[in-house]
Amino acid sequence: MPSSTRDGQPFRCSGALNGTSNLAGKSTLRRAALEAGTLPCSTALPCSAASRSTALLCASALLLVACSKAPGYGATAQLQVSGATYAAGALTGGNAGPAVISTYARNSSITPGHQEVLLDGTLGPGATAVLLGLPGDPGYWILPASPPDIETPDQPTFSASLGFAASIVSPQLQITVVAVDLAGQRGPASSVAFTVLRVAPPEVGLVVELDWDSEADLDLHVVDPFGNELWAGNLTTPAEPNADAGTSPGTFGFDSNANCVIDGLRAETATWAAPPPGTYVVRVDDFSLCRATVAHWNVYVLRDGVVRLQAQGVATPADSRFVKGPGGGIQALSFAWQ
Amino acid sequence: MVAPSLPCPRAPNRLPQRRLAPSDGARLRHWARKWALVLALIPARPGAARADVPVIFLPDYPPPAPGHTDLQLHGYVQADAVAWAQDSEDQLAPSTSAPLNQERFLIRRARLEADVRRGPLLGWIELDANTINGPAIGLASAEISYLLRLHAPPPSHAPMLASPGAPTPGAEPTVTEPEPMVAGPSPATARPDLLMASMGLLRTPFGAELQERDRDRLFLERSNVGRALFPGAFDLAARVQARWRVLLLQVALSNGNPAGSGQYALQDPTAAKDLVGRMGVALASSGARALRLEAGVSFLRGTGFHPGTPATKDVLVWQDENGSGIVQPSEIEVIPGSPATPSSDFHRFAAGCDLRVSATLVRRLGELSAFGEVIWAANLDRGLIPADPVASGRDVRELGLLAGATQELGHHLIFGARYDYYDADLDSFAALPIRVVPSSSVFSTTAFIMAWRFSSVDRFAVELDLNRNPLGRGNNGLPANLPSDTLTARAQLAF
Repeated sequence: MPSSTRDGQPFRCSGALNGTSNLAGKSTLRRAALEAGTLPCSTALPCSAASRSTALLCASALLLVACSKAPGYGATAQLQVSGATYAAGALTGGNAGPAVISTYARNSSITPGHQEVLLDGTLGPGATAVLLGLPGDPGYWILPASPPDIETPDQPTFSASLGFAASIVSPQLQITVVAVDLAGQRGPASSVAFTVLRVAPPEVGLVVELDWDSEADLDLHVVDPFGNELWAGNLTTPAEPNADAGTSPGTFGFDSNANCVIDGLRAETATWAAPPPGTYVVRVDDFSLCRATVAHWNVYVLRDGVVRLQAQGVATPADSRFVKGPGGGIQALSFAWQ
Repeated sequence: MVAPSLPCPRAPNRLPQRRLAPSDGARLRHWARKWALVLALIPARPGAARADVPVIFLPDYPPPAPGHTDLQLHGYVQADAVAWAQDSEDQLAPSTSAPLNQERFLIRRARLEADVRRGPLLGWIELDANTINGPAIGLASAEISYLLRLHAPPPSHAPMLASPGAPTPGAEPTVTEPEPMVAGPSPATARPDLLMASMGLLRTPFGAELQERDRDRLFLERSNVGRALFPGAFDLAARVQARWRVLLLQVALSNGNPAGSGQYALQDPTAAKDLVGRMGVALASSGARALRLEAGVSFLRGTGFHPGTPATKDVLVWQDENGSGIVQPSEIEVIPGSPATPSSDFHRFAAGCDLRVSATLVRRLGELSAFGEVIWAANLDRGLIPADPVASGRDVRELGLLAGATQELGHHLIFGARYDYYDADLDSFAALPIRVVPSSSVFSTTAFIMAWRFSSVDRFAVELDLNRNPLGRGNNGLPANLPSDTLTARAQLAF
């Protein structure tokens, strides 16, 4: 949809307006009001017929027609911008507005789920805001411009704190940046490239991974063939004198959401580069559900980077009453490593 | 009284003859016939059977017999169905994790009221339950009053007190000229003169809309200006009310933090009290037009509170700017601690005037009521954008108004429209990169409501609210409207 239709927000007035074609034939003032979004959806209905009966019908239809929705808070967008306002529609540039003079990303390589990625820039004279969008997203972000630097007193600046969704799959991202002046005129679109790095589990050895879906504090416990328990309270297993040559002790990863300090990771791993053969036992401890009602968890066992086993379950408030620490948790699965 | 269901056979001929001159031509006769047909389809209704709902609620019931205690239980339930909310979204609020979906069923108000009378003493307790933010129950109001009757109305006026517009069985509709306002005995003025002193959690005596009970108000909620300046209608206070003939005077000393006002609701962080009051007049005619006029001026002068801050410690912050996961010296920032800052007070005030005119212009339709209210205020917003002149460094001036009308359409239907406008900061501005420009902080709502009344207080209503606000942001970075129109249905039952 072109950006001229109500800042790109789609109208859904049961066919009353369906893109720019429906604006044809309306007065300039009415079109301007529609484009600016200052007319309520109801007045955008085709109520201009001369007869009062039609007007009455239109008034009745007001109560029945489901009109447009607000653009929302952008929760479904892959790109998030702190302090900015979300608007629906694709982001395109123009020719009448100020240009984006320069952009500077302090880190051009990101990982899925990366937050607080800083993007600074300088805008052309007269710019009052900058629009930031990711192609493929249903909308874009409006960020007011900041005062100019001392060296360039006529060039406004901007400083955006970007966040990227954990579900990003593309290896390369091109963020579109457009400067806008006070009249709402857009300048040419500029783009900033980001490379998406993926933190893959080790492709050799044994990895046991636990992840879950809510802001709860779950703990992964793995007992190796020697009876050593690897968990958040024991980050490495001791070197066993009876272990085969060439094996290595296990290491525990990050204790996610520890003591309900939410970090957003919601995953824990235990890794052996050269695991000793034998039987391993995997347990999941519901340390605390924090403010969540339940937590759905998955346990994956990866051998040389490939998932070989999987178990899943639900942690409920009843599970958090059991003993914590070594030996805690319920058994998710056990397997033999050869 | 149920009006006859058959249309009046004489209506089609009488109305054009009375309203239109013979020389008006065929076009006017055509319109007259159409209007006559519409009127004929409405059940004939001699005498508007409206509820005698005074804007300002004062007890008119007789005192109990000496030595007796009267206890009455009342209540009502308002069940809402939000059919459409433009800013509703199946997501959670980023900061509070509260559901953003608003298209739902909810109990807006379930009130249980106990009314106790013993001699000159009156007691009132009102409990509220709702599901706005999940199940909740609490105290809505509680007051103890001493009622002194200065003058009882003569017996001949008693029927007018009970039901001033009661239908007269078998009476034919008559057309009379508008009669002048009188200050003598009338449905409004014939109430007894009284002096009433109250203390407790009681209704703030400011303006007309604020003092209209929730079950009596046709529109689903109060206006933007009302909800901004007085987020709750009840505050802890001591109040004196006096009614003498057509005059009504109300003065209260209140804590100044009404229910719903956020951090200090129904508390008082300052020793100073708010002085608030209203002086009004109520006129009514006893003629066929049932003309009524209620007007008043209100004032508020009080003290607001700016909270201080506690001392903070130094904090070390690490921001992984390059995403390496490794702490580097350039990524470490020290946020120094800050000393405590003291709390401080500030002055606030408000002045307002209100007017309501009601009349039965077309007997077959019913009562037409028009109302309006204007409020000027400074530093008083406690609901929408709480005013804090200490934080902003200047006084925050507010202006609000509302205007509307309701028209009965026969015995059961009533239609209403209301427009309200509230500027939360008359001096608001937006700081652009190089200059500062004025910006809007106006909230406005245009509401249309259609209600089917089973009785004066039992009804089913559908309201469309067209809201405008400065909560969104335009492409140019300035505040803009955030679409938030709603369509709500409400069923109300009172007992």
